[in-house]
Amino acid sequence: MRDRNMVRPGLAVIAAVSLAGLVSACSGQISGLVGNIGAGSSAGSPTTPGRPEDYTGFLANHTGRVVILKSAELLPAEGFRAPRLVHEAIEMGRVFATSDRDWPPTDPKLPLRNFTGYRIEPGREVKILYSVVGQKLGEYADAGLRVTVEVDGGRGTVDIISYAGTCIVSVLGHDCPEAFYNRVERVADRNS
Amino acid sequence: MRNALALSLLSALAGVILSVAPSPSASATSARQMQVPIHLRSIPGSGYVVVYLEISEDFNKLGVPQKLEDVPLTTIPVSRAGILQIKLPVTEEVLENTSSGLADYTFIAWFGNHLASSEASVPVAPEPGNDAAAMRGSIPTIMFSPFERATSQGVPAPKPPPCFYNAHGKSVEKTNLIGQMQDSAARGSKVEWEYSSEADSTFGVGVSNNPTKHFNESGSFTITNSISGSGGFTAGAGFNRFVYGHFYRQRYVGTAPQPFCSYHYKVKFVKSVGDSFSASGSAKHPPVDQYGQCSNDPNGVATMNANGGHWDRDRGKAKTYSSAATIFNLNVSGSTGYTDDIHIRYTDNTKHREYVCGNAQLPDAPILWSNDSQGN
Repeated sequence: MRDRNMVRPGLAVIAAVSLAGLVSACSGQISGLVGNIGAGSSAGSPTTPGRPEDYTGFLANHTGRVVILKSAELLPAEGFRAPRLVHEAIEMGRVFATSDRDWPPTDPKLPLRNFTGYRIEPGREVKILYSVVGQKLGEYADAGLRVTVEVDGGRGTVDIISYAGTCIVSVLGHDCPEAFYNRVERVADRNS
Repeated sequence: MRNALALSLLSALAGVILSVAPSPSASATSARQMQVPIHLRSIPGSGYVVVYLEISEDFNKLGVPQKLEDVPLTTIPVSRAGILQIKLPVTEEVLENTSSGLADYTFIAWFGNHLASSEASVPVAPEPGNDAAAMRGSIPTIMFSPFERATSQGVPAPKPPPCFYNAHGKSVEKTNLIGQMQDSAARGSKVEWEYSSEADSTFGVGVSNNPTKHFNESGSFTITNSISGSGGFTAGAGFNRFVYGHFYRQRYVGTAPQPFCSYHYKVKFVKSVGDSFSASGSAKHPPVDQYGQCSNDPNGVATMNANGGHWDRDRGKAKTYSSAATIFNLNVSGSTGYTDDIHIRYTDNTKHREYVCGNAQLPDAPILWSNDSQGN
């Protein structure tokens, strides 16, 4: 598991620095945005073809500035077929879904806000619920989200590490093979 | 970060933080330095803190060092007891003698003819990805043993001679508390303790002038388990037990004559077997969530799908237990944090949603609890 504290706020300085200074030249990642809170861990659940399965990733804003969420794409997990990203939202309360089903999830009903345009104040951490689907029977996995954000009018990205294994079964009630979750867990560990 | 805040708060409350640097005569003044907090218990006057690097040598078949050499690094004058900040030299020799990025320092404080000692494994070269207790955030305050009258009259200037300790008696295998695990009462739920690679365990060190009695706690020592066997286990509904591991304890005796060294006997846990197992069903159970059920826990609530939801947490953070281990008559604290591949995994194979919560903000809580919607 990566140390969250390794990405230090730094950020009294940032007030006087342009966004260009925040964005790494090679990756476009913004320093001070911490998306590896879930690194080293994983979630998983079975679902049926085309039925959304939902997972949560965490993002902390230590940039010292307001960060606005713009869009998201799925991060593939090495060695797995990727599901398709179909929804994202911000979970507002204390409750978050390590795994949930359908969109929006109704059991329990989570208070959600729109993802696009959501403003993360400095020093805050948000929970991002995202939903994936797979059409064919079998095993899918993802590593979380790559989120495009806006800071001070400029754009950059942050990777939100949230490994999730989704297996598509014909009928709910059948769990995925233990070996599948073990594989997802190993990949999550290897990349943390 | 939280440790740092807690430490700052503690310092502010004490109102007596004093920063002191090594004396100019010290040999290691040009090395990189690392500031650490120490706590010298009550004694009048001023004194010195001698800082040593402890080097483990002559490992036996079990991997237990049979000899400890404490190499003096610097002598730091201190104007009084209490909570102070001192600067540890991080020399090339220190960096050459690390294990998992940790260097073992020992300390002897001299106030006239009284001495106190301590020990600490300090992350001088933290390894990326190591989130274990000793690596995370700031270093906890290094607590000294109570001052006792010494046979010599303080430390010779500018630098004392090295101290040597030899293994005294055989290594003893002991079971020590390393964690706890709890599952909901709903049939079909499952929890797994996965302990298969590296873990950092930190336990108190005992010192005494008697081989079997009157031990005092003198700092702590961190062991990295490098055995890559599997020490995990799985438990079902209603499980709530402490988790233990096996460790080797070794007693050392100072080689005479060494009047400027610390206590005659030193006992510490120096080797982790790398296994883990749960307490028996009749043993004392760990307390459950003080909020009664996850839905009341202000630290957050994680939900898991019915019919196969999984949540697997890398347990980077460690919980410190006040009586995790024993050294003869002495109960010492201990904690186990995990560097890699060590997890707790919850599985919900019930027909209803299950919840997980913790003793700190999720998802990184050192202790996790689980229950169903009824709080069972």
